[in-house]
Amino acid sequence: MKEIRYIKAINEALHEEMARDETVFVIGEDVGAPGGAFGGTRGLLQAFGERRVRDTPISESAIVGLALGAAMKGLRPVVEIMFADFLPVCMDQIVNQIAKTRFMFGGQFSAPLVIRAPGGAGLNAGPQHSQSLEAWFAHVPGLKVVMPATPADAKGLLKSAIRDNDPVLVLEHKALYATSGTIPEGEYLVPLGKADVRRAGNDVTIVTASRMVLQTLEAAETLAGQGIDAEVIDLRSLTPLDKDAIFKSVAKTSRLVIAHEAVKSFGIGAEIAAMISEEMIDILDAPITRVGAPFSPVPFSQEGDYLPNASDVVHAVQKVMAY
Amino acid sequence: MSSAIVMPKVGLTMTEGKIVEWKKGVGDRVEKGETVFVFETEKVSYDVEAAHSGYLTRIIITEGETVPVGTEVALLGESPTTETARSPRPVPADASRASAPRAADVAAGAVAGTAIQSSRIRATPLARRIAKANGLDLAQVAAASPSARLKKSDIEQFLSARAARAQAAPARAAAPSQQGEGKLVKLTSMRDIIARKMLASTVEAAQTYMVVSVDAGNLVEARQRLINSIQKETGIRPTLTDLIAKIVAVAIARHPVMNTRWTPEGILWLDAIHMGIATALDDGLVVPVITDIGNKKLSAIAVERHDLIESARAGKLPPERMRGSTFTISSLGMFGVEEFTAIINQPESAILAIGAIVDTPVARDGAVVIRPIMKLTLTYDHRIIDGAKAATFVATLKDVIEEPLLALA
Amino acid sequence: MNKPQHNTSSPAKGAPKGAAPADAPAIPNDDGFLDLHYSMLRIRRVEERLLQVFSEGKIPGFIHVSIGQEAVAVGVCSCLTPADTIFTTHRGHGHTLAKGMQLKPFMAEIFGRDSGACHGNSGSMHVASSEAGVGGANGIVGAGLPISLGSAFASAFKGEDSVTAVFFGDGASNQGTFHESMNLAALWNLPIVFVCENNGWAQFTSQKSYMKIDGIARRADSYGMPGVQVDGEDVLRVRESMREAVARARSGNGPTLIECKTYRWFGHYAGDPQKYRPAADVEQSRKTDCIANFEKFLLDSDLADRAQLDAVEARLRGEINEAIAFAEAAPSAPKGQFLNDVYADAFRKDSLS
Repeated sequence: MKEIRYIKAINEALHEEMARDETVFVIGEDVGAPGGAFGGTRGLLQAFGERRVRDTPISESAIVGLALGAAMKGLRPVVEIMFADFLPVCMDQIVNQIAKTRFMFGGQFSAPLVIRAPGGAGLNAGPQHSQSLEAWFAHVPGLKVVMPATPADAKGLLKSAIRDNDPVLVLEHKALYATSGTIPEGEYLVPLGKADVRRAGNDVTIVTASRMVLQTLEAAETLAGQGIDAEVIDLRSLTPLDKDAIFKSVAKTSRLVIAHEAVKSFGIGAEIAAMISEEMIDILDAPITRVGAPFSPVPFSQEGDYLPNASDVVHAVQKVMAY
Repeated sequence: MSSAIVMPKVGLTMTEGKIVEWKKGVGDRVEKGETVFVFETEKVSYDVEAAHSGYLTRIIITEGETVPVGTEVALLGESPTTETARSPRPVPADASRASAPRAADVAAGAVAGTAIQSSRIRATPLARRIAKANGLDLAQVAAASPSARLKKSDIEQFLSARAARAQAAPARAAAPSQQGEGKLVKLTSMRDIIARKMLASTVEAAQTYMVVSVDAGNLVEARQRLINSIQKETGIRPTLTDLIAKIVAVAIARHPVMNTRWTPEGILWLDAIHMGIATALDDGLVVPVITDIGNKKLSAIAVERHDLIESARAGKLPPERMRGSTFTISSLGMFGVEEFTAIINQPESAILAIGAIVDTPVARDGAVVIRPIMKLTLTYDHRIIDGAKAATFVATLKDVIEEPLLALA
Repeated sequence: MNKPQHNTSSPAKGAPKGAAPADAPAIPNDDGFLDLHYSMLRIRRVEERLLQVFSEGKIPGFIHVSIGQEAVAVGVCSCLTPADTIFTTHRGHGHTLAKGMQLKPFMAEIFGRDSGACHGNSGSMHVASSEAGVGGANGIVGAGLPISLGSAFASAFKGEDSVTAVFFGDGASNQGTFHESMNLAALWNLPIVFVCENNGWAQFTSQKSYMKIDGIARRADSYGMPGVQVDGEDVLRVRESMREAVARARSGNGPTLIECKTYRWFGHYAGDPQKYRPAADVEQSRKTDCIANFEKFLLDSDLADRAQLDAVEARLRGEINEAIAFAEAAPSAPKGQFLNDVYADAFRKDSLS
């Protein structure tokens, strides 16, 4: 095991996959000499040259569309979109083209490409550089969506995404870039579609992802001090969703809280709550409760007030336990 | 020979069109490309031109009528002879599909009609499930519980209090109804089948029975020891019924006369043991079958029993899973019933009725001790099985339940 | 060159005789004329039949026909090989057939059958053929442009000399994707040809009302690539421009924009009553018939006689009848089959439900 920062883990994944597979190339704004806006592509240009590390004009639709055309012809593009907030700029290419290519053409073409984009708030980047838009993409059949919370998952999921034969959106969290964690030495993969039980517990299940995993683990420790034994499930992948992991845990605890940084309304929490209601409502001994951001764009100056945090999770769990 | 002129489809959303004017009459000569009729859809009118030349021999749909896309509206013939005999062709499937209501719409309509019930007893879904499994009336629990909302813990408290009361005094019989009138409920097909089978069984077989009390202490403990490993392996918690089913199979293997069938030609000694498990439903009774139970592990029995009962409760048990049993067990222990007799599930030759496990004072080594006692009642067909044979089977059953390790012996 | 599969072409010996259309390019010593004619007529006859069966309610959804624009499809695709790729539009039947897609899977797809090229998932608007190098028709105006960049990029990346052609309309030239794609293609010298079919109508709106300039080709200059405007009703002129553009792309000299002025005989979609379009405009468009003009040229030049052309008609009738019969008889996809192509890697379907 070794200690590494989240952004560096991503960078390692790119280095390793480009060295492993000649068809992998990286494309995006400022991914070449600048090494990416956050350093994710640092050193790739020197190691692999301009042919495989392509700096582009500020043309998100062209970048993402180009990746699709190249993927249809057997290459494995890894696109960097500088902020997840810019994904809506190329929404047609992602939703109408990439997600549907394999389907519309009856399997004649595939779209094995990766789009990396940092989402999330916490750096005072303001309303257009801080959003968590994962629910939009998880709603689109044909896409896979992952949200790593740790350096180990950031590397392992990205490598799996690059090798996957379907389009994968890797939603990194920019406020996690500077966080550190341990990762295995050498080659390893984290499979898509597998959640991770970060903390085992018997009283309540808390399902979460991305940066909220950290807040939730902190909350679980606080709750343990109050005699509440919480199980924390880090989804890691939204599509495919590891329903088994969620169901098994809720079958054990009979209580469910879902915590995410995205706006609470119409989010992944609603989806998971609905799944449990549909398929195992009679296991529930308390209402399913969501923790999420208020229905407002991310404010520039009051992020602390806006963002859900550990104490919000603690309060939600306490309410569920006291029901 | 004539060909049909149909209501054309113009555009994505069109499903029907209204004929507003026939430009040609029956018997008229029509040249290819000439307008034959005009129709209207969503306030846009269209001229329909003849695809080829001929004579309009029949107008099927008159002005002012609205018809689905693809409907024959007229016939075009080679000569001006009018046609009347030909019946209109049915609308093609593709076109008619558009006008049929979608399942999703129908479902949405059904949901919209559901009213919110405000007078319900407040209880969590888990509490409701446990109450139902134990045959509890939620109103009864609510009346006895201090909680404004029933949770799992409230139901469990109620159950343990009830068990304590059951120890203290036998349940009083309900006062007979004074009501002289009632309402006739037609037989469901399940009720009809149950009635006929039960009556036939009592008429055809020479049924008699014997009871034995069994100390279930080791059985309960054995289950506790097995729960975790089996649940880990299969996700299913084995029930006492599962253990008893397995033990009954072991006993039958040692007393194969229990696994027989009366036939006019003679007694059929069956090789495999297929165990029926009588299962109560809201509106009746089914007997799902665990096939070849003698060769199945306990974990496999638990999974199969769980799946069968789930399907039965969902009304999805295939008929073939309810046939072919060679021996049946029936348990009413979850209702607190201590002892009862069951009617043989024809054409089998015996059935075992399992009562509740009740803490009972018993004499042991000269002292009175409280033991978990369970009563087993074997109903058997005396045409095949004599009393002594039945008794030795029951004795084996008692031995193995009291010392489950003997199943291995 | 991509030859349609037929054997009616007889080699024309030496330079053709007779009068060429006024202002025609010099006629090369070329045996491809009958192929061009066959290919254009095939599109015309196929689409006429499609209009007919659509109006009979046999095709679900909607279709867009390209009747009147056949010369562009054929002129462009006649310069491409099976290794080359095209991307096309909602009005893409012609391009797809000209590029060499087989008629039966094409027809079965439009009928929504399992034996359709896309198993009935796509219909008329998203037909594709990996074997014929058709990277797909597209239901979103202008969306094929960025994707075609990737195809061209992959050719260059792999060091192959294949090229990509992307078709789009005058309407699409106002989408951002057009400008992004033109810029990037020129910047990276991608082996691609941008083929604009300017039929003067963006869906239901006449070009005059949405563009200040009347030619799209001028826009090429802004991005640093050659742009030419040709008479899209003249298959030989289209082919000549395309040959030049393909040669430029194959030799690593980058993209070209070819604007083909053409006419849309019918409405935006089959059944469009075109209430927005002056009758005179429809009439005018149908006076310009790329196929009739080319037939006249063939006959006048003694490159073909009437009997040969009639034989082509007969052959096409047979081919199309067979394809329609095949499509009509073909079974629909089995229930739920559409779930099979959502992802390449099967993962538990229940996690989607």
